[in-house]
Amino acid sequence: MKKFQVLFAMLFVFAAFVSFGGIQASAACVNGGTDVMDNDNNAIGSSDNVIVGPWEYQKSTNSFRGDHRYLASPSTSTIYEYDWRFSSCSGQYGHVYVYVWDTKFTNQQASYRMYNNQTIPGTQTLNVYLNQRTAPGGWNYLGKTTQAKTGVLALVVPTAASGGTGADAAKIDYSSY
Amino acid sequence: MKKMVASIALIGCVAIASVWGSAEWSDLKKKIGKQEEKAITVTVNAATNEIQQQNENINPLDLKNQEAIQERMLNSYQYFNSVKGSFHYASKDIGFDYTVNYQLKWKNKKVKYYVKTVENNKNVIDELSYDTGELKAIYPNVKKYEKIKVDIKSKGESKKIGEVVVKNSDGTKEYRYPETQLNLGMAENSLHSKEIAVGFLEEKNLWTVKRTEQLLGRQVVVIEGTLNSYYQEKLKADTFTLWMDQNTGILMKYETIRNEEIIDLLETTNIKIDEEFEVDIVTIPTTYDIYTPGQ
Repeated sequence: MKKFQVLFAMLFVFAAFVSFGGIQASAACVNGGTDVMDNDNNAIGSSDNVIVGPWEYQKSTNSFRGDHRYLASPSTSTIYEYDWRFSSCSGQYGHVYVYVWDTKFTNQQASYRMYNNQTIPGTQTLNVYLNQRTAPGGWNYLGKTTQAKTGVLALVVPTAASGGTGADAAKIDYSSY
Repeated sequence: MKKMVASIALIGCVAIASVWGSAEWSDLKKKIGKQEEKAITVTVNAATNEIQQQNENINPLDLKNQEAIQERMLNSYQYFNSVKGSFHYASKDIGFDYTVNYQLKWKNKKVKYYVKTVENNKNVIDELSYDTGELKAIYPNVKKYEKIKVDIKSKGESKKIGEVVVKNSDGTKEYRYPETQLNLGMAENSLHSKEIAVGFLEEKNLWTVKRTEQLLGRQVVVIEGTLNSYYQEKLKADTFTLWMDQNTGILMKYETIRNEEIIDLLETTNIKIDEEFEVDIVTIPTTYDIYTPGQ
């Protein structure tokens, strides 16, 4: 009987872990919920965003909430990155958008990836390219995550890409399907 | 007692696996169903099409229907199974000059692809390939690589143009491109030019189909238009010309122009569609270090 009780308890804990995502979850992490995160979310240099490289803070009337980050054509050979650190969400698919409007955003193969950062290294659930130069002004859809897991959205500039790369707002619409 | 414990554990595991599995299978079934429907449509209509192509399905296109033209470019992945070629992509405004070589092949619902981008005819800026569940990319100028597990089972969504542009209550717009797991890097600018299909062609009063012509042995639709004010400021150009492959929606060539001067140019230099070829795979040099974003 004791074995039965132990097994039942283990199953209950496992189910609870799956249901609640194990680690801090987004409040919007429900079917129909939406999370929006700006560059420098709520404060310049916000801990919600991680910056690797000389991403310049700029104001612009066309940008989401009036500002964005801009990476001019890098002169050195290294990989640059801008992250939107959304809270982890498990159990919901993410439909991911980025806001592109400023006319200086011209990276021809901006590389966006979504990671669920419950484990290190995180599980990659989205990997999409967007041509910022030819993209229309507004929310550009990156796609739906391949698993019901979301977390950090990373904009990666892995090469000395000609043209500037822009990082403005990002948005996740959650759905159970 | 032991048997009872084992039975309960087994039932628990099966139940959890079923819940997860059913959602995945349901998504997959929807996608496969859409593809089969499309394949049947293509076969039925093939005899009525005017253009003659070898080794590929013929996909009729009404050149008087602007939305149909946009949808052909937006959903281009649905209209070919294999493609191999290269193009030149340059901008006088930004100063970039790329040569892109690509190979993509669908066979038995499995895909392989390879893309190599060279800058200024000398520096390989990246190479990427996909085969049997693994995407590999190398970045030679920083000596880094990535290996990503991803299971690509379909070409992705096909969308009507009316579903793509959504105006929000705050006045912003959403551009909902078709979902796909195909990540072809720079090659997407020709093979799946979703941004141009939706952006350049959004305002239908600003463009027209001028003619069809032959380009590298393919029948292309020539579209001429005026860029809207957003693009005029962004691209430092006023007008554009697109050469879209009529059968597949691949953007074979495009130019943006200001004062009769070409500002941006993408031009296919060779292309083979639905012919047999082997797909290359990226070899990761042992001296390269792994790159892990998002940490």
